[in-house]
Amino acid sequence: MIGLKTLLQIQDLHTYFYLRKGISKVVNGLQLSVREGELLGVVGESGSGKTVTAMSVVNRVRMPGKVVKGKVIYQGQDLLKLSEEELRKYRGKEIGLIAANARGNLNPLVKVGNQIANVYLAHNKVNKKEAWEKAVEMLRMVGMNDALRRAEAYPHEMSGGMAQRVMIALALVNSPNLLIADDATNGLDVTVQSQIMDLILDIVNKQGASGILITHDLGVVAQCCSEIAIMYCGQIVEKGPVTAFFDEPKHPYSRNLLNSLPERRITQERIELKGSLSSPLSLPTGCVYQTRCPYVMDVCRKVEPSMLHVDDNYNVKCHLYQEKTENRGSANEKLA
Amino acid sequence: MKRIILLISALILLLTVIITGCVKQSKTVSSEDINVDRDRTLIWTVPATPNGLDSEYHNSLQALEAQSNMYDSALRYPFKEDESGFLVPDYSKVESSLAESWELSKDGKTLTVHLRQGVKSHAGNELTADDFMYQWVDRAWGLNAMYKNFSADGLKLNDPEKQLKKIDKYTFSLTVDTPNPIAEPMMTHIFTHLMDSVDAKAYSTKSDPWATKYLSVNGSGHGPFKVTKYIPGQQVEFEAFNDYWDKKNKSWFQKVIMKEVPSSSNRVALLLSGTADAATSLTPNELQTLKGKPGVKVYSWSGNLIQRVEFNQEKPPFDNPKVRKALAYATPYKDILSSVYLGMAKQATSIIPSTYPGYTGEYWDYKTNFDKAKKLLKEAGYDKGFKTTLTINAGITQEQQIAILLKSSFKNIGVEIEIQELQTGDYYNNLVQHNMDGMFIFQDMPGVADGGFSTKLWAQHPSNINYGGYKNEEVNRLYKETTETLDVKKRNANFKRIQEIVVKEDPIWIYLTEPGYHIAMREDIKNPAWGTSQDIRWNMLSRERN
Amino acid sequence: MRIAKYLGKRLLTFIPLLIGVILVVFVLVRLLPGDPATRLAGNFAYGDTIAALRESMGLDKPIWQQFFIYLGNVLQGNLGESWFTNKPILDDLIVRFPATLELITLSILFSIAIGVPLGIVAAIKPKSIFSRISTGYGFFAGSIADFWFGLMLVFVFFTTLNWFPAPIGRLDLTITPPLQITGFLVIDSLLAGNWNALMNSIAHLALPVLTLGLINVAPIMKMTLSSMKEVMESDFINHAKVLGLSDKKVMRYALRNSLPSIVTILGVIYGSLLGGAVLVETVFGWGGLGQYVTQALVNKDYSAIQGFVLVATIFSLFIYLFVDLIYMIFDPRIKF
Ligand SMILES: Nc1ncnc2c1ncn2[C@@H]1O[C@H](COP(=O)(O)OP(=O)(O)O)[C@@H](O)[C@H]1O
Ligand SMILES: [Mg+2]
Repeated sequence: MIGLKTLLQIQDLHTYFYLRKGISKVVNGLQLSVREGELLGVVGESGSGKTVTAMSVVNRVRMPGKVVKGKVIYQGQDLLKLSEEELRKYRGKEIGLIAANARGNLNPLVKVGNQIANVYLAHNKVNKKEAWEKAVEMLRMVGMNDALRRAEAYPHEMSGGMAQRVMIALALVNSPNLLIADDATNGLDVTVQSQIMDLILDIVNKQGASGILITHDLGVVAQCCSEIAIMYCGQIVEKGPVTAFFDEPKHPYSRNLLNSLPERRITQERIELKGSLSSPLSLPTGCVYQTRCPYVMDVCRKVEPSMLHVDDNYNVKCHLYQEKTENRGSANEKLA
Repeated sequence: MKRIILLISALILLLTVIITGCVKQSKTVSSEDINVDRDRTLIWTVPATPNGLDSEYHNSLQALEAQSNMYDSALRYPFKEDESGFLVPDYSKVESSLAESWELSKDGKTLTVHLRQGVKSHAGNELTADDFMYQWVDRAWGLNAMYKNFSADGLKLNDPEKQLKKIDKYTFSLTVDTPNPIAEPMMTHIFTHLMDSVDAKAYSTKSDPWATKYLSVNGSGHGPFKVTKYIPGQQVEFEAFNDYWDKKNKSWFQKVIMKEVPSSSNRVALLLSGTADAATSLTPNELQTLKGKPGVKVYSWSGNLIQRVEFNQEKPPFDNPKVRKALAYATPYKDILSSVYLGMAKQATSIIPSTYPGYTGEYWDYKTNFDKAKKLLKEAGYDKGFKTTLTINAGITQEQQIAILLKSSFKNIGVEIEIQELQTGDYYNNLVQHNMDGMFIFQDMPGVADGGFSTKLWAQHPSNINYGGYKNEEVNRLYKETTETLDVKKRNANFKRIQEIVVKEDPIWIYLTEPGYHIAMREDIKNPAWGTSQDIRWNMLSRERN
Repeated sequence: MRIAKYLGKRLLTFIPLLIGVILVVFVLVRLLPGDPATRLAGNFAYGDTIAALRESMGLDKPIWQQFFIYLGNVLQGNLGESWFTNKPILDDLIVRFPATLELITLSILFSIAIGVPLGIVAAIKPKSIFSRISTGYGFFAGSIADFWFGLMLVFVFFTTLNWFPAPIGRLDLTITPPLQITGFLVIDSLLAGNWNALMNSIAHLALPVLTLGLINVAPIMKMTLSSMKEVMESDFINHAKVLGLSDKKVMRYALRNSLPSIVTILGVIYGSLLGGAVLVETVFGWGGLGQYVTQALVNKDYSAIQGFVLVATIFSLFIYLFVDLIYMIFDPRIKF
């Protein structure tokens, strides 16, 4: 199912926020790629830069933020080089984005049917009536019973789960090749969460699209995704196939993540770990995880580790594996 | 969409109900179709409409002008023409107006007036001695306002029932205890005008026995114009009175619209465009500009206004004449005349207007001289100077400029002044209640062309209009003598001595300017005639188109 | 029916509000410095006369007694008589209210026609030359005095060019006004079929409407700009862009969502113009309410001031009601 062709490749992405307090380096040097048909789970603590990354992919980082460096190559085209007008052909058409907080992201004064129809109209040469019919069809597809009546409703007349379904309909109405679901189930109650998750997976599978699933739920990732990426302070610190990851996570941070939850599931809104993320306003030189890492070495405080290829399709950004690649075995002893 | 339509129609319905309710309430104002001939209509722009038309209460400049054209008095001054073609009063002789004849008894105590017969009022009633008795006895003492406190007081009346007599239908007399030299000039004043008592009585009610409501906005006089519309804040309309008794002076204009145009630059614009025929109360700057403009003509006359700095003399430091004198020497007269008035005003030199009988300017000798001023201050014990306030009337723009000049000039002798600008209403409230502190700029006119009248109003003590509280026993005595003798020589000698005192020895004010009367009119308006209360007699005017 | 009930409820709340306003104004005017009896008495009446006048004006009674007498009269539709013109206040107001209303209504329509589009352009294209000019204009117009501006217009268009009639009110002095039906000269002359009066009244309206209109363009533009800006920064606009909606569509969303706050500010400005147009009324000799109340304030003509405040309050209440109704139309979240 997973092709070899890379659909999206993010290279050395840097997104900074220019604040009065200073420059907040929210994303710095992020590397990530998604192959066709692949479903990638991205996991990280709150504030690690997941949403900003997602926005950087569609080149819609809002002031005072700015993508300062890097490439977002989608099917061979660097999206960061395009004009707004050219980008419009990708946004909502090639790349569908489901955001958390449906309430804030839906226009409160426009009927949801019209909102969906507008997204359809923006990318298809159809008339209003056809677009409206498409919207109703989408609402049906995302599991609304009386879609016709729902289409006439305003967002405030819907429950959180219903509104989130509308968000999904908005993202999928143009059958995108890449779906980014950013915390799509955040704030919903557990049963609704799994319904929505199932819905997303179902649709992605049906449409044969690739997906980036940004989530807190390692269980979901274990179940649905083929690949997993762990994000920390605006960087991907570990990335590899899901099975390999859950067998033996490599990065000290990943281990910490898994260990902190005996049932290996994180269902809270936030992943709570001891210590806190380094402030993006003052990142340490060297490894970003040095402040919390129990295995911190001198080199970690001086040199930023590079993304090390430790196995097939498996990468870790940690000095411990620098040695390992040179001298396999010793690192595992240390970690044990 | 449905709710939008529903809402809007509900609201429109609501508004319609309210509006129709209002309209039903109002008496639908019908449009009278007066065919106005622009040529025979005089459009007279003023800064404000009269504050009312009842002279008992309403004495703004515009009120006086309206009253002067609506009402006549028993006597009047003939006009004489000055060099510019402006008709101004000839104060050397009094002539008959509503009175056909009059005589002062040998002892000078009784004035007998024979009214003209057959004089019709605006309401159509004949003028009789009853009109006089109503106004002077009943209404004046009933209201206790202007007639009693100004006119009757000027005539030395205090017991009207005894002193005033109706002799026959057209004759009345007025007798006082001492010879009455001021009786004749007083009877020319607009404040002694007569009105139709039959008409006034018709409008008196129990709560308003003197018909003040009616007379404030209407009224029936015997003058050349009757009022037809009075819209405060907008305009007052007058119509020429067809049965005016003085056939020779019947108005050429059929209609006069006294139009309120608050901004003086707009009055100028209206005049220049020909929309208006006259612009009153302009600034010196505007007058100077208009002088060169085609189609308009500016008329100027020294008039009878005197502008001065008054002092609260009941408190130090101004109880000391040396301090008053010192400030008079520290005043920049030349700057005021040139930079504030642009040469449109004259130096004031006496308490009597320079156009009045009895005037002399010989005692005014205050060239700006700081050394002299400092010396006087030192003698008065104020060698370090002092601080005080200068109150001005926001309604008169020049006062602000003068105040600034005074402030910087007085600094030279160590006198610091704080300028306090009051809105006209508040300014007069303070004035009338004798509440002014420190110094204040004031301008006023003595309405009666008699040498003693200025002293009566402003310098004798006590007087309601002696706002600064000036008190000089010699002035009091000299003045009293002039009111009790018909001896012209004696009176003139006293006037001279009074002027010597109030100008030179014990100065009452700092004499600033005689601002004069100025009016700009369309060039084709001929024959302007100025009355003593700063009014133009519209009945004398005509339009002459070539 | 819900609407009728809502309107009924709102109108009922007007009653206590109006009584409150009447009371406050009643007390406040009596706290103004200066005494109406002294003003009324002229320059030659002293102590006794003034006391007698005070008595006949009812000012010698205790203030609460005066208030109840006044309130009783108002409830019977009698607003009292002016002490200075001796005319019933209601008669004066009925003539002057339409004069001002005609002026300010046309002015605000003019301001809307210019200010709202300018604000929109400035919000959408903040960097274009056009929007810079209009922002500059907004700043300029906000800082100049309306009466000065009026005088300038008179100077240019009447004195110099003579394109417009003299600033002497609503009609030339030689034109007979049409029968008063609505009090709006434009409408009344239309009803009367009086073309002369119609054209003349329109010509007289031109400059004062231009003055007030251009002055009020500034606040309207600024409010449009700021509420548009606020909406443009909201999440749902961002999400609309993420979904690739066209600029036009996004602008439509933004405008739609800013309309409620724009309408509110329009209502506030319109309501304040009733008394706030006084300087322009003075320059153009309009004979409206503003001039009326200024005169009344100078004279301390209590009933006239109170009558004006009453009318102005009722007017504002209706405007706010109207604004609220419009708000409801635009915002489905607000219920009756
Ligand atoms: N508009 C903004 N201004 C300043 N900082 C921002 C802004 N948006 C996000 N950030 C910062 O970027 C960091 C990452 O945010 P985000 O991508 O939302 O985290 P996540 O989605 O992983 O929870 C946070 O530290 C946050 O403070
Ligand atoms: Mg997030």
